[in-house]
Amino acid sequence: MYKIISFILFLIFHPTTSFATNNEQSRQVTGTVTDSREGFGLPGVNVSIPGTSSGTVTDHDGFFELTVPEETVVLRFSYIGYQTKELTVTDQTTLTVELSEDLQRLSEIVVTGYTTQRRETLTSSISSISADQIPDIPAASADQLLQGLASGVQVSSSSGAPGGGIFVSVRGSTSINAGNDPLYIVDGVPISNTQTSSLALGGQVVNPLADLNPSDIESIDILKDANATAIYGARGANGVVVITTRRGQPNTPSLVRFGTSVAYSWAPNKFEVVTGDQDAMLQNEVHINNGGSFESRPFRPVSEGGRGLPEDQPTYDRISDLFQVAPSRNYELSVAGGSENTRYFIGGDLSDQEGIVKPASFGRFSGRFNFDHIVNDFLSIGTSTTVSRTTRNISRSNDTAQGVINSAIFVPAYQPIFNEDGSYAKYGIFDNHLALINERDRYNVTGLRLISNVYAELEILPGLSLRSNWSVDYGDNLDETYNSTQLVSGQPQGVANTTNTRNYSWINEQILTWRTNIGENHNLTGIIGNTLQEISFERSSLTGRNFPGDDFRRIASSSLQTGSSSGTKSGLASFFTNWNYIYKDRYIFDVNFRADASSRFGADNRWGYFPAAGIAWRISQEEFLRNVDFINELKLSANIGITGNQSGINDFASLGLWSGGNNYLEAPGTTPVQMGNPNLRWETTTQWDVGLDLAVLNERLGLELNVYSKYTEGLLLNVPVPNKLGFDFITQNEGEMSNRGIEFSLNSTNISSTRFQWTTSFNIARNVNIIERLPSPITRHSRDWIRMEEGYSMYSFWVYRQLEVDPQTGDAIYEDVNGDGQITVADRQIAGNALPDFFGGINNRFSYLGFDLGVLFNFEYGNKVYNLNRFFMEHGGIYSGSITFLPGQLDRWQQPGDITDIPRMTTQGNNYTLPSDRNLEDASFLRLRSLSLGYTLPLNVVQSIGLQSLRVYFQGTNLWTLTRYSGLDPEVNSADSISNVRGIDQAVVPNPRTVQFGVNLSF
Amino acid sequence: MKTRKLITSLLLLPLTVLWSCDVLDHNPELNITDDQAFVNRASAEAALTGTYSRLQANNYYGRNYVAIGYLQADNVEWSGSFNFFQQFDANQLTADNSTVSGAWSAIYSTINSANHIIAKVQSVDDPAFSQSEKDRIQGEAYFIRALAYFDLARAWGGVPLILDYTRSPEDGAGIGRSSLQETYARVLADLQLAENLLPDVVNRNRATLHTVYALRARLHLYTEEWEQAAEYSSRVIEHQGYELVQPYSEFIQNKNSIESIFELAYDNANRNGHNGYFLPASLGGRLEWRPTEELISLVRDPETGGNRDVLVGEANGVTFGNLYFRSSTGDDPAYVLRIAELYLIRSEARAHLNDLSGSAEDLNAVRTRAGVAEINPSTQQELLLAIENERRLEFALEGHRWFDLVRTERAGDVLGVTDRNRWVLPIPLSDLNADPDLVQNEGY
Repeated sequence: MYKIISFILFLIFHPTTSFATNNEQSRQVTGTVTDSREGFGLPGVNVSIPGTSSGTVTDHDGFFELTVPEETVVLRFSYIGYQTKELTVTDQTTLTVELSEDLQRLSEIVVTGYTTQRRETLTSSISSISADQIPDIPAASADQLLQGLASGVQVSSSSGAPGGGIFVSVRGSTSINAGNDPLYIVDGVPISNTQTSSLALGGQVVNPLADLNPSDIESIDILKDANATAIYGARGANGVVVITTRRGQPNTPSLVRFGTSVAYSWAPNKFEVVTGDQDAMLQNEVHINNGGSFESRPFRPVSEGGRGLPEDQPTYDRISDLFQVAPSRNYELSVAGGSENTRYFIGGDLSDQEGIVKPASFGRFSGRFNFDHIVNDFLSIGTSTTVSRTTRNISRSNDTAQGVINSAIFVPAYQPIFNEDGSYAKYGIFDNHLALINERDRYNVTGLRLISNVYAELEILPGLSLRSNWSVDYGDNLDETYNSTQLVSGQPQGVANTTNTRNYSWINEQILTWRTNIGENHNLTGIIGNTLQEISFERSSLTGRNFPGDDFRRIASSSLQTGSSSGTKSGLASFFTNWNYIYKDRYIFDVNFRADASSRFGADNRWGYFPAAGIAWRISQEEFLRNVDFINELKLSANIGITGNQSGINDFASLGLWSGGNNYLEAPGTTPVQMGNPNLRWETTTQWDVGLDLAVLNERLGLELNVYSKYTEGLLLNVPVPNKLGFDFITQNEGEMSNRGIEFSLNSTNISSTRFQWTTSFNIARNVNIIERLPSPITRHSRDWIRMEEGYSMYSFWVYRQLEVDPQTGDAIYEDVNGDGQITVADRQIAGNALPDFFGGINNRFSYLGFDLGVLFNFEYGNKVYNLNRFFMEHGGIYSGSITFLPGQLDRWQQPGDITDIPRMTTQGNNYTLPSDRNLEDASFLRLRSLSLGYTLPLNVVQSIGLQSLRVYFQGTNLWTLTRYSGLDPEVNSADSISNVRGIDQAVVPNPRTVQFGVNLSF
Repeated sequence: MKTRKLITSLLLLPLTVLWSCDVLDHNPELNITDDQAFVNRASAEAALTGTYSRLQANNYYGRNYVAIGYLQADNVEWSGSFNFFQQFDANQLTADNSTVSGAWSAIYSTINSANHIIAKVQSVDDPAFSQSEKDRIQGEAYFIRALAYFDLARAWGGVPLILDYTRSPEDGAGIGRSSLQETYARVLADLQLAENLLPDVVNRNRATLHTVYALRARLHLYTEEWEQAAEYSSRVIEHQGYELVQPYSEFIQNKNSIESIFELAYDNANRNGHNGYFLPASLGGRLEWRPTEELISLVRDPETGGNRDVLVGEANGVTFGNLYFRSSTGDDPAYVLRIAELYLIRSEARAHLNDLSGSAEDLNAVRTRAGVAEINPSTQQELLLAIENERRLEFALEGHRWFDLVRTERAGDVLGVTDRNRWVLPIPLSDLNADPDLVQNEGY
């Protein structure tokens, strides 16, 4: 015990004592220690004067400063995993020291949130993706780029609309009411990814991450387990995505990079509906099957008072009007460089993308300024700042009858597109698709985003530094619409709306970092910090109705105007600490702790505490394995910790509230809207993770295996209360949920010769989600498609199971679960869910001389999609005349003996009225996500024209998909705007197939 | 070293400065907390206004409750895409129907708002708040609660009677469903309390003494207390402030016509979206439902419909219900009680009391106004059938038809809904799960 205490005391005072030995005849030496191969700064390098106790360690950028005697000294630079280097320093005051890796160990630096670490010394599970691994996919947002690249990270794009919503899930979903999105940190700033547009788009969302220019990104690290995310405490339960953008390197001449590309996208599949005569024939069949007489069938000769025989019906093609080959273009320009004390990166991009379904488009114009400067021997300052402006023209689709896709696919094909007078014809609840394309030229979303961080870092003592971060995340979103009189929603005289939404958050952080090495064997890093954050939301909206004409589109010209404004605010205060101790580069211990206080909870439950600890054993560093050449790295790690979640509830969920705005007779009124719950607190997730890292055959083959279990308690839940109390629910901490999973990834250098290289990386993950406890089931979406119920997983579909279509009668036979002889709601059951059994990706990269080829596949297996297009359009006649049919309806039962799963056409009985599993489909898929072929010109050629590098490439996206799903795209989700609804397909824009040509050059 | 320390302290400064502005203390700006809700005259008045606003909800008189009353019968048929409405049209409701649960929950939140007022208004300590104002506000709240329980009872049968406002989720534990008689008795008790508190003035948008009498007449009609039904109808009919307007379309075209006893007013900022479900796409609606062919021919037949043909409109060859049509301004009223109903209540009560000529006189008052010929049926049976048919047309799109046919036990004969279990709505499945005290109606 005494030994331990004295050791700790030694650790604490060691740097101080070294500092105290300074004498008057001394001078300052500063410098940077970098990796000799990659050029990045090495944190935690031991800098010492042999034979004395003087010394220091480098900070996270590899900078150090040391007071040395006036005379010539020898400095020793030692760093675990690198060859020790000694330098004789005469009169230099600044040094640049390059260290080479020991044993050819590839040392990857991982951003672990507030600090950086070498990959070998991690005790937790973190997936890292560097810029060169990211394919040049013409994606609007960074999250989409992760698809198929990181194990355990499920990424699906909900729609092919440009800048549309993306579903990202790290190791499953932990919450029912609160959000399940990971926390995004960009250069140290936790950014908002909440929806800022107020437009009702039929379930589509606008992705706020599209505000970031993907080409600015240097690396993305995904913190997956509790030990990695506990440092983000209350917001770490769904994983943390840490995005680091490009910065300049010290002592590097300016490098200008320019890239441009042009791409064309189109729909890989298009909707298909029956022809006019088939529709009419089916309607006649419904009539007969309902018991109607042949003479009175609706499509009988006009002479008999009917609408004409089926074969006389015309077919108007609407679907071709929807789609286009959509061009997009992108330009990016950046300059990066650095002198001894200053590093900078200035970049910008300009991109335009049109939608494959008219009339959507997306554009972004962004700029970035990253800057670091060493002011003097103890102070450095810098900033990471980006500003972007995005413009979107959005067409509604998905779950709205006034959507452009719905208006084209649902209307029977025999109905003319125009009335006889040339005006747009509208049928039933649907708009006219051409009117939506041509007349809705004002349905715009304009976003302005500023994400900025300014820091100052102070070296208080050698090895001890204090960093202060000041950050803002400001998002301003302007929705402007005008619904013209040609549209249903513009009746009777035009309707316009302008909504301005402003999200503003400021963050202040202080981080004290202490790095020290004691001898060669002990290596300690510790940080202590605090964060304050305030988030505010403001929205004001104006609606104008009745315009003098469609040429007037501003609300000022309308005669009836209404307006409203609203806002809310919340705050978060936190303290955190992280300690990492490495002994002999073999045993690694990690401890994390964060305390968070949120204004959303009652005063008594404000604070949440989130501890985590991890250990790792690098077996390959043990003597008995050191000389086994076959094994380069073998590491076992284990960790456990607690993280939290507070998103998804409103800012004042703990209070009993009355709301204003419930007006009558133009007087203001109030009503009770929320039952108070002073006991409301965080959701907490306890998670453990065990990992194995192995690298063999001279690092040619590396694999990583992780097994984890997450258990979430105190789910923030809108628990139904008896309606007789006048409320539907109360927000409570009820319910429990588990996620258990396994992740495997493999990296292999198959061939590595000077001329030809072939690498393969493969990852696969399985996550099993179970709602362990839920007081009563919760249903979601308009027809309760999704049901959350104890014992089942999230995103489960709630349907009646169709056993067969009776070959004799043609009626659907549903499973009578409770055996009472009738089909009631008691027979509705859970059948499958939208989560995949496993998912992953495989990325092959080849290079031969200057050519490079990349082939990335991603896959999901076992996920289900409820095909609502089929639900509505294989309706068996219940929507006869107002909604047409999919060709699948033609497979209906027609006569005794027919074996089919499409029942007899009829509006009677329950053949087509029940939400049945007939339309629930397996949506497993294997997709060629990207195929790229590039050619980098030989150096002597490009240098002769004054360039440093020049690469031309072709890129294909979504070129091929293998799936049994009958809809257009197995990946989409039309109900993105409804929390925790997945796997619903209704009139969604499919993910486009894209070919892109581009040039990247630098000079 | 001095500069170093100076800068250190500058960097650490924000810590202390910012703690003092305390990022953790925020108050809602859009809401008020429970203890702020009832403090003076203005907040009590606001709470009452909010209770009227609850009556206007889409799930209540704003649309869905009214639709329950017409979709299940033979005046209006479903023609849209929401198959939860189709279930009403087909009389094939399931307990998970979202319209049923929406209406159930909307009515109970109205009751909770009213309960707050009933319990708290008399003890508000505000010198500017006179006793007569307190009485009026409490009386209006009693009326609204009576209307809410009446609407629950006629649609679902007996329901849990909650008479105090909600403080916590445990409130109301053990309160199960009362019988239909007990529920109607509660309605009567609330109406009697309201009678003693409300002034005798005419205000067609709020509850007054004669609004209470009108609802009371309707209650007695449902409970078949004919003499009281006739008496309370008479009290309203004899009042100067309420008269049949001529022609029928007058009360539709003009808001707050003299015909109206109680209508919920809407305006541009507080819009009534009911019309969107009746109007076709060419007029900005979704034609979710439309008048049946039978109704169209009845209202268009001069012998039966008279000038009530205005109830049906036509655009681009599509026929649609035209009672709610102000899609631009959004200020279609929701009609709750009209004087025509009181004539027909008294007519029906008199017929049951065997005052056949008095009955016919009331019936003919309504017929004359509609521009159709007077009739004089000779038997009680014929008279009652004539009243039933008259009510069908007079209130064609107002949500009476289904409740009338259930009340008179004629839903089987007229609509073919022979399964009597289907004459009441199912208790919503979601609430059955949440409330252990609830028992489902038979057959669901």
